[in-house]
This record gives sequence, C-alpha cells and structure tokens, in this order.
Amino acid sequence: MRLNVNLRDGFQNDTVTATVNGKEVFRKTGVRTDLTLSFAAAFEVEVEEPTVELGVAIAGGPHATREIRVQEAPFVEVSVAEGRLEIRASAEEVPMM
Amino acid sequence: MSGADPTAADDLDNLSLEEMDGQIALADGVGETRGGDPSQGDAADGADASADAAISFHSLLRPVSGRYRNTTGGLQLELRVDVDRTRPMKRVSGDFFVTSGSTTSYFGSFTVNSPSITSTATELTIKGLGSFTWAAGAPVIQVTIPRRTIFQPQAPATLRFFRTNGTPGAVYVCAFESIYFRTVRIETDRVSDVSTPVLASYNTGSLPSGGPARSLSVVSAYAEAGIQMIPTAGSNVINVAEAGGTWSNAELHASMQQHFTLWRDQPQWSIWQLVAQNHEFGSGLYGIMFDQQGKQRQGCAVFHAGIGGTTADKLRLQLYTYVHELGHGFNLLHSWQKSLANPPALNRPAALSWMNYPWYYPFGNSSGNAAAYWANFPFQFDNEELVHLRHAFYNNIVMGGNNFITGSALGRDVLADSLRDDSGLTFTLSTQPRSFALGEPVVVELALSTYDPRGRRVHRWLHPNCGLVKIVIQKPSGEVVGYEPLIDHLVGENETVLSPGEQITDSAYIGFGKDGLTFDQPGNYRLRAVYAALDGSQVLSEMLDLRVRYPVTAAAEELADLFMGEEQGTLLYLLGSDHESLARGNEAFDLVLDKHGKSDLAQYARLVKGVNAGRTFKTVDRDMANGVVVRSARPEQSASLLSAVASSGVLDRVSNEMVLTHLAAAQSLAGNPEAAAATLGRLSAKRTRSPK
Repeated sequence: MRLNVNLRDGFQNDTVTATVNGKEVFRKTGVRTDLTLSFAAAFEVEVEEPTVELGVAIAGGPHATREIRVQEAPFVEVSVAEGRLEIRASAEEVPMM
Repeated sequence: MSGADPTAADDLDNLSLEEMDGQIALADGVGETRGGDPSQGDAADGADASADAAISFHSLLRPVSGRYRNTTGGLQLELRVDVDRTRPMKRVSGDFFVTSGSTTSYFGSFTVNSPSITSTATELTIKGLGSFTWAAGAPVIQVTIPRRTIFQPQAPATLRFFRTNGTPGAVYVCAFESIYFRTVRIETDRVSDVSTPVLASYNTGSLPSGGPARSLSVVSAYAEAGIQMIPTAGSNVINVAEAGGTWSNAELHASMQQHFTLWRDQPQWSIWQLVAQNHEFGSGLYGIMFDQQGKQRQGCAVFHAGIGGTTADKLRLQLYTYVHELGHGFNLLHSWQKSLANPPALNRPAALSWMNYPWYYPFGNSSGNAAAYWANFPFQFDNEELVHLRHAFYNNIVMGGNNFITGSALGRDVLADSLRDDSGLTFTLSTQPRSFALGEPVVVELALSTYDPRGRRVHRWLHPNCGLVKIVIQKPSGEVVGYEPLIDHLVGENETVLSPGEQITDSAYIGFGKDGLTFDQPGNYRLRAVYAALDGSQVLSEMLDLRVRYPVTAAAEELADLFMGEEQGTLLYLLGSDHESLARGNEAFDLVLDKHGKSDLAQYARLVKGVNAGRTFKTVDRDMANGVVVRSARPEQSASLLSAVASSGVLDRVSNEMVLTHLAAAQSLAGNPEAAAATLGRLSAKRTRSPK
C-alpha cells in the first residue's frame, strides 16, 4: 500500500522530517509553500500495515502525529496553521489549482 | 515631469506650454478646462439643456460606470468610475502615465474607497479623499459626469483635485472609453496531446448552482467582473515533445517565452493560458499560475488530465479552473489565504468565489463540502476581489507588475472590518504619544483581552516577530504596506486561558523592518493590527491614527537625520550591536547624546547603547584562534544609561518595564544588589498599578 503525503499551506523555508511508525521516511530543507497552489512538497511511502502512525515535524517548531488508516484514507495533507501542524487524511487525492 | 504632482495646480508650472495645451487647466477659473473628446465636449451643453426632458425617462439614462481617459499632452490619465452597472463597488480610481517622446512610463495610482455620490437629473458627482501611491498635494477627488440618455453618446468625466483646505488643484476632462474597467489580451495555446476539447463555454444551469443560469466562457466570466478579455489570434498548437510528455514549471515558462506572441518582460495587460494534458505533479493538479520568474504573473496553465471531458461537471470544472488560474495572474490569492498577501487581508474560506477551492468549503451538505459549494456558487468573484480587479493600484494587478502576493489585497482601506466577530477576544493597538517627531522610533503596544465570561484559550505571541500578529500601515501617500519584521521568529506553543479582566501585553518597535524605515515621511498614518487566534479567528484592532511631524527647527531636522538611517533602524530593532557594519549607526547615536542629550529622542539612543552595554557581545572573527572576539559586558555603563531612560517617562509602559528588567540585571552584575532590588521593586510596583 502506498501512503501519499502532501505538505500544503504554511511552510516557510522549513526543514521538515516525517516518520512512519517511528522510522524516518522523509527529510527536506527549504520547504516553502507555493501560494499559487498551496503546495510545498510531497512524498510517497510504501507501507505494509493497514494502519500506521505518521509523524511530521518542523525543525525548531511544531510537530504532530496521527494514526492513518492507509487502506481507507491513503492521501494525507499536512499544513501549518496558527503555529500548529495539522494532518488530514482522505480517501481521494485533494486536487490543487 | 516625472517628479511633479499631477493633483496640484502648483505643479503645473513644471509643465511645458505644449504639455498644457489641450490637457490640463486650473480649477479656479484662471484657465479654461480642456481635454477629452472635443466632439463630446461640444455636445455637453446640449445634453444639459435637455436633461429636464430626460427626468421623466429616468430609466433611459445611461449608466456612467466604466473607463475614461485623458489622452492629450505628456500626462495621461486612465480614470475608472464604478457607481452603477453590474455589482457597483462605489469607487473611483485611476492611473497616471507620463509620456516623453515615444516612451510612456507609469507615474502612480489613486483610489477613492468611500466617496459620497450624489445624482441629479443632470449630473452625477462623486467626491472623497483619495489614497495615492505618491504624496498627493491635492488629495480630495471630485468626479462629475453629465447624465445622458441612451440616445446620446456617453458624456466625458471631469476629474478635479482639491487640497484638504478646499483649494482647487488640477482638472482633467476624460473621454469615455469603455464600459470595462480594464482590458486584457489573452492568448490561449493548446498542447498537441490534449485529448479533450478546449473549453468554449459552460451553461451554469446544467447543474445546481447559486446564481442565474447563463452560458459562461472565460471571456464572459471576466466581463461580468468588469474586465474585458480580448482573445488574440495566437492560438498555437504546441508540440508535446517540448515537455517530453509532462510539464514542469520551468518548461511551462520556457514555452511561454517561445510561444506567447505578446510576451515581453515588462508590465502589460496581456496573459497567456496554456491548455495542456499533464503536469509532472500528476492529474491532481488542475491548473497553475506558473510564472514566478522575472516579471511575474504573465502565464498560467490548465491540465486536462484532471479536468478534461465534455460532461457537465467536467465543463464546470474546466471553467472554474481556467478562470481561477487567470485570477492568480491578476494577483488574486486563494480565498483562505488572503492574510498571506502583502499587505494582508482577512481570510475568507467560506467565500463563494472563483478563487476558493470547492473541496475546502467549510460548510457541507449530505453530499459533502464540494457539493455544497457548487450548489451555492454563483460563478463570480467576491466583492473584495472585484474591488481589486477594478481598482487596485496599477502595479498590484497588471501582469508583469508587482510579484505575486505583493499588493494582492489592496483596494481596501487598510483592513476591512469583520462582518461578524465571535472570537470573544479584544485586541488593542496603541502608542504612548499619537504624534511623533520625524525619526522618532515608533513603538506600539499590543494588548489582548477577552470579554467571554468563560475565558478563552489563547496564544501569547503578540510580537509581530512571531508571525501571529500582523500590522498593516497606510502611509500618508495612501500606500498600504504590511510591516515585515527584520527577523522572523519561529515559535512553539505558548498558550494560556485568558480570563475576563486579564490582559496579555507586549510592545514592538515597528519603525524598521525588512522593507526599511516604516515612518519615513511626515504626515498621517493609519495602523491596524490583526491577531491570529487559536481557533482561526482574525481579531482586528481598532484603527490607530498617528502623525509624524515635520521637523520645524534645525535641531529637530538634525535629530531626524541622525535617526533615519538603515543602520540606526537596525540598531533600534536589535537594541544595539557592536558589529562593525553598524558602526555608522552607533556613531550617529553618539552624536545624538553629545549634541542633543536632553531631547526625548536621546532616550532611545541611551536605550540602545544601555541594553547593548549590558551584554557580553561576541563577534565572529576568523583571524582569532577560537574564531570569536568577546567584548565583556559593561554593567556600570549600562546601568547609568538605562537609569536615565527609566526615569525619563519617554518610553511606553511595556518598554519601560523591559528597561527596568535590563537595568536590574546590569546593577546586579555591577555588584550593586541593593540597587537591583530597588529597581525590581519599581518594576513590581508598576505591574501592580498597571491596568489588568
């Protein structure tokens, strides 16, 4: 199964790391939201478990974790709002324009 | 000519006789009012004479809204009148251009956001105080337009400027040009692999919607907003091999430069839309305004992999995406991101606008949020966006003007009042004095309280450095800017439950930021702050009016010069520094203390030097063995300077508390614990006495 993670609103030249079940699966510096799309970066992870714990952190800033049911909601959006990280999962890819 | 003020009659002296001829005349009757379409000018008297007859045919009167132009002479004026026709925004605005030889350059823009509008049987008059991109000498604007019936040609508009004391300024007679406020040429190219038809139109009655059923194309959707889109004859078919199957943003930009017939790296009313099949981000990307290099916002693309097709829902999505991406070209942000504009506006996540995402609509029905959005969407821009499209200052909207997001929220008076505020919070912005000497540091005090008897959970980050409070400033010229702190602080959680009667306060020096000096000219300023609350509410302060005084003495002028430098601004922001790059700023403050030591402004020099003296200051020096030069703290010097500041009464309450804290630390470091204790006692007493 594939977990699709999009970093969306609120990133400002940040260093972002992500973990799945505690294991780092993504690290990127200079993550910045393109306001024409509300999109900053994306990554995909192959997972075997139907449910995983996704953790996302901004270096020196907020972090958040959320349990994701990958079979039901494999599309994840992560945004920074009011200084917090928000993680939302959905069954379908959320379009951008 | 470019330095003259086009509003002021005085500055007409700067015009040559040739420029005067047929263009501008004085309003005081000395000169004859000229300009506009001579044939229409001749007809005006007749129109006025017949106006009585027109009264009984009121419905036959021509609307007056649209674009007018004074085209004669070296100074050109485009005037936009928006008081009737479709969704009038009750404003006038205009742009001045200077023509010299065969070159034309932009001079400046103005807008009147809240004019008084009076209409008689013979004439419509619009009058109000303008906002300008320059320091206008005659900032009051009056536009008069004779009423005409539909059987007569549109009348010209006469624009008169006045000084605030009523003295007439310049007059411009502008011929009617178009019912549209802007005219933009659009070139639509298609990529060879697009497998579905390029959108022609969509009937909005095909599926449930919030507006009247009508057939809409890109051109007619913008026409409803008052923007004329003229398709050009370009219409190339671009070989998909240019992109190798999928498009990156870099390839889109290169293709625009190659295929956009009208493309030039300069501001112009032209935009390119590419209809493509696939972006490298995949079919979830419906469209993008990709042009964020050089002169931005001249090109966008839509991708039929996600939106192509001929079913009603696909055609609706195509229309939405095509119009949406072009909206970015006009410098419009997404509805829920308006606060990220510079200067910021209120986010409007529930807006039924072309610029929202249907799937982000916060109100759902049984079929979901997007379905609820479509069922209510009337296929239009919201009012704030209409104001921008019709009346934004030229560089904030023209393609190739200011970069994306800069000026994208203009067209409003600083920050609009919330239509509804249930946040339970009150946010106040104040300064100790309301009037400042030119060069005097402007420190604002920010205070958050609640009127909710249950209390409210809030964050404590009030300082603009932390990014959760934004301050918007309207300068004397009318230009609206967002204050950008010199250094952004990334902050973590710092929450508390605020009870009624309690207050969280902070103070911030906002005289200097990323854009340099904020209060760099004498005149009246309007400020407003917005606090981003934990629940997403944006709590607005009341407007704060400040005045920066003209220096009227030689000493005041010298003090202004000594404070108004980038280095001095940086030192005030940082509360001092030893760094050699700021040496001239420190020298200026030394001179302030030497020559003007008794002035109020000298207390700010003492503050900067006193706080810095109390620090151990480390400077990176690769020539040193450990790479660092350490200057020890000078607590006696610090205490001496800060004692003077603390007892001066010049600083605001919060800043003074900060000074007392530094003073106590310096006294303690200097080996004077009794003095430190006494200072802390003063601090405690101040806090006890302070209103909660």
